[in-house]
Amino acid sequence: MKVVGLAIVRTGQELNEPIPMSVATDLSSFGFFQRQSVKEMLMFLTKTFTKRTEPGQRQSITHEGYVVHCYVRSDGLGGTVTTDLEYPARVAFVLIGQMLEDFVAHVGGDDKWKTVTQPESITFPKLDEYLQKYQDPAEADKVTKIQKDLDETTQILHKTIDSVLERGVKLDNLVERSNDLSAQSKMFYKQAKKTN
Amino acid sequence: MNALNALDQLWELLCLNPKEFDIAILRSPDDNTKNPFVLQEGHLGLHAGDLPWLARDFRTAYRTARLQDCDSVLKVTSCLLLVCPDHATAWADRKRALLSVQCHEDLWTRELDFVNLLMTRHTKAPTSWFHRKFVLQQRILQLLSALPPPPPPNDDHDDQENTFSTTCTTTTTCIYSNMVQLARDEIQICARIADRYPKNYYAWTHRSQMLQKIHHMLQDDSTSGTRTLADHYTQLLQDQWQSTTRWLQSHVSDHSAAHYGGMVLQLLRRQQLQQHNPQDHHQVPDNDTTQLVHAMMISSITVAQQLVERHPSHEVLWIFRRICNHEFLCY
Amino acid sequence: VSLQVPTTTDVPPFFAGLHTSYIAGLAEKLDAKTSYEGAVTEHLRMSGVYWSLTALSLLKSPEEVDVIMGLTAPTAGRPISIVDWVLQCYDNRSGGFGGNIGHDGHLLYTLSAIQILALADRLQDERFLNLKESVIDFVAARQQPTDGSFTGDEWGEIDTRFTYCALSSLSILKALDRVNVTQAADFILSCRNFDGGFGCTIGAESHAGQVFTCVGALSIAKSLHKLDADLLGWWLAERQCDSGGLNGRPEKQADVCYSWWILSVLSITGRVSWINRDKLATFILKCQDDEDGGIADRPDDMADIFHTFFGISGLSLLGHLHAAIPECAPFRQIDPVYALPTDVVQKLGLQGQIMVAQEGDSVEERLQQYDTLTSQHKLFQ
Ligand SMILES: CC(C)=CCC/C(C)=C/CC/C(C)=C/CC/C(C)=C/COP(=O)(O)OP(=O)(O)O
Repeated sequence: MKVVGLAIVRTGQELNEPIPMSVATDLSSFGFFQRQSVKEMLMFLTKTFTKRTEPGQRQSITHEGYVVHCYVRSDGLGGTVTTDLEYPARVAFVLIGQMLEDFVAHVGGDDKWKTVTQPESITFPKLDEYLQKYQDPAEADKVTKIQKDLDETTQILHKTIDSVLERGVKLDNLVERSNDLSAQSKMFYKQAKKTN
Repeated sequence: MNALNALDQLWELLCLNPKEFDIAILRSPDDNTKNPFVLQEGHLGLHAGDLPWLARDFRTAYRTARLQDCDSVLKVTSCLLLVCPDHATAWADRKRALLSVQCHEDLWTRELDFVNLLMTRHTKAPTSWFHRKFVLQQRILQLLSALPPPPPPNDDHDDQENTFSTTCTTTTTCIYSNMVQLARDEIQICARIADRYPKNYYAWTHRSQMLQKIHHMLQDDSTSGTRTLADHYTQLLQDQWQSTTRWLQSHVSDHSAAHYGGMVLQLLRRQQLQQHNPQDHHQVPDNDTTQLVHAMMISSITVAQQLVERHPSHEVLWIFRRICNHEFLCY
Repeated sequence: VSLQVPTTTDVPPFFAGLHTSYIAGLAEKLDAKTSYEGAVTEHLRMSGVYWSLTALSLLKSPEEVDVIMGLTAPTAGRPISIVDWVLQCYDNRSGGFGGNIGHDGHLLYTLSAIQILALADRLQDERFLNLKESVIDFVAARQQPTDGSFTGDEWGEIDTRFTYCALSSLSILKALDRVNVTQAADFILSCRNFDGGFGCTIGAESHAGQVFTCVGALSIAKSLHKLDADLLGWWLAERQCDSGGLNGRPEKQADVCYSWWILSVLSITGRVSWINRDKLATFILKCQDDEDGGIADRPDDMADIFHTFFGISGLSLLGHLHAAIPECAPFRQIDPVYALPTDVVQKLGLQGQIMVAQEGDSVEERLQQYDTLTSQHKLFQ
């Protein structure tokens, strides 16, 4: 079970694209030369998916052996936790709830984050702590038991990329058009299936 | 860049002992430095786009090198195997070359280093794993060749004999602990590979073969070092049990690990049996081992139970539970 | 509560024509200077050729296969026939066949070479007859006197794959008496795990691919009575995933190749009905490349010849090919023991054993030349 990355995102109608405000990644399980591309891809998927997550909705989207768990609050603050397939979705969503709450407290004031315009501009050391701690979901289970904030009836939508994107839109096209992905990463995406 | 150049360049980089090897997209399309390799912070990278011609050209160079001396064979196959890791004939040529050069102390250790580097990237080539086993076997033979000869027939000089057997025991002990250390290193490498490339059949099989190998040595061996080896081995098995159950907690769908855990239990059970075999004169029944095995057998049932309770939807954990129950019943 | 959002895709048809052109064009593609696949699979080309030929044999008549592939005579763009090339891959030093010209002899490629010659009906070719004794010697010498296991080559690696290769090769060459068949079967049985499956060697994890080699070897050794077919069948049936595809080990991804490795064993043991056949066929069909032909390991992945062979063979064992391409007559099927077209197996009079799950169960037509065993039911009686 692995957590690869955490991101806290500002979303909203007024924005062209969601803005990842604070990000933490653990890319040690990837090859040295691929880490940069994986990180870019992670950010790209975070934006792509939070943009397509209704406020209040929890969805887990599977892509090539990894799952991006997304949640967006009704005020537009969102978060993603990217894990491998084994990681329990429930724990991932407890983590999102936690990190969003702590983040708001950290920046101070309920709405302060709504003024953030620069990606990754907020240093939030707790995110790295969470990333380490939640590698072991059993550790996190302790939190779950006390918190009970994701009760049994909460719905998690399990989706594939195709069902998240609008009809006729392909991830390939989005990748091609993206400004966030370097040429290297685009090639990495294209070749991933060819020479594994 | 032509083949000879590429080969020389890669060989030069290999001589710098990189710690990791990877094939990746190393440059963007507009970058036109025509270099297929890069060494960065000890990581050796090979440009994915250059693979087709490199593979072909290394192969051609290999055909020539086969007709030349051992050094050329080692050099060229090093490069070729990084690109085609399941090339059985290239591995065979390597074995021939290694066996025919003057055997020096670190010959096999260095060959293991090469295989380690290759396995930071390629982990599913059966012949590379087999080569690994072959090299280990040679290394073990090398270690064992330093064992003192069997004691000479009894004579009257008592104190002389005493000194003889003390030095014997120290050397022997040392050799056997080196061997167990070798197994531990192998196990660690397998764990690293299984972490990067999960559920790797070959890595887990290799790991379990390391344990079985020592088990067989204990059965075959009749030297005075067996005692030491047995102790180290029991400790090793215990550590393996602990690390495997820990592993399963965070790798809940890893059937290879579950199977390996079962193998550890089985070997412990046999280990205990063996120590109680009255026909086996050089083995004294050992209470510690008995207690240890007993405790682990009991604990295995509990561990397995906890795992399924925590993650009831994982088939592998139920299988693990069945494995533990099975071993318990055999016990 | 998790909600699975269903994706609705219709079952694609079987693209016989596309697969034919995929296979026909493969050699040229692999030989191209810029082909990466060609360069990194050069050492196992012999098996690649065997997969291509057998897959095509299930779609086309022997005469068509011969012409399309240049099997016995050179064809456009190929300077020598496949048979001539195979003979050039003979390794004088070891007595076995290598994976390509200039490679060391190995059991894996020796079996592929013999299978190709069988497909080409050239086992009586004088040039091969001259080598035949040395080939048999090479194979027989691989058996280890200590435990009956087989090594792949002179370097001593032991694997149940090699037992299958040795027994199948010798059976085709009518020389099974040159090895200790009972001991070979006993070694296979010593590799059985408590789950009923088999691994690559003693104590190794059960793996569906290795299960095929072990059951295939037991069938050729006529030792199937030593198999716990119910326990094994249970384990194999549990390999079916939600997608309908089969995996090779618990909680691993489904892969088209296990359609062959598992279905062949279920056929040999008379238990194909233990899995959902329609769902499996659907999975295989979804792994086809609907533009360039060929079959991949999973939907949307790149097709390759290995998975094309196993996908088509899987469909054949499911009886699906016949339904898909009725115009292809005389229709050939795959044999689950020797992995050759049924008519080739029958013509050569190859021997083996199969099981029926229950007394009175009918034996599939393609298996009628084998000895039949009724397994005792332990689980379901
Ligand atoms: C004539 C025919 C059809 C075959 C000849 C005999 C041979 C070579 C059989 C090979 C059987 C086979 C596929 C064995 C499996 C080898 C193995 C241990 C593979 C490990 O595979 P992974 O890449 O981990 O695959 P999974 O992830 O699906 O387990």
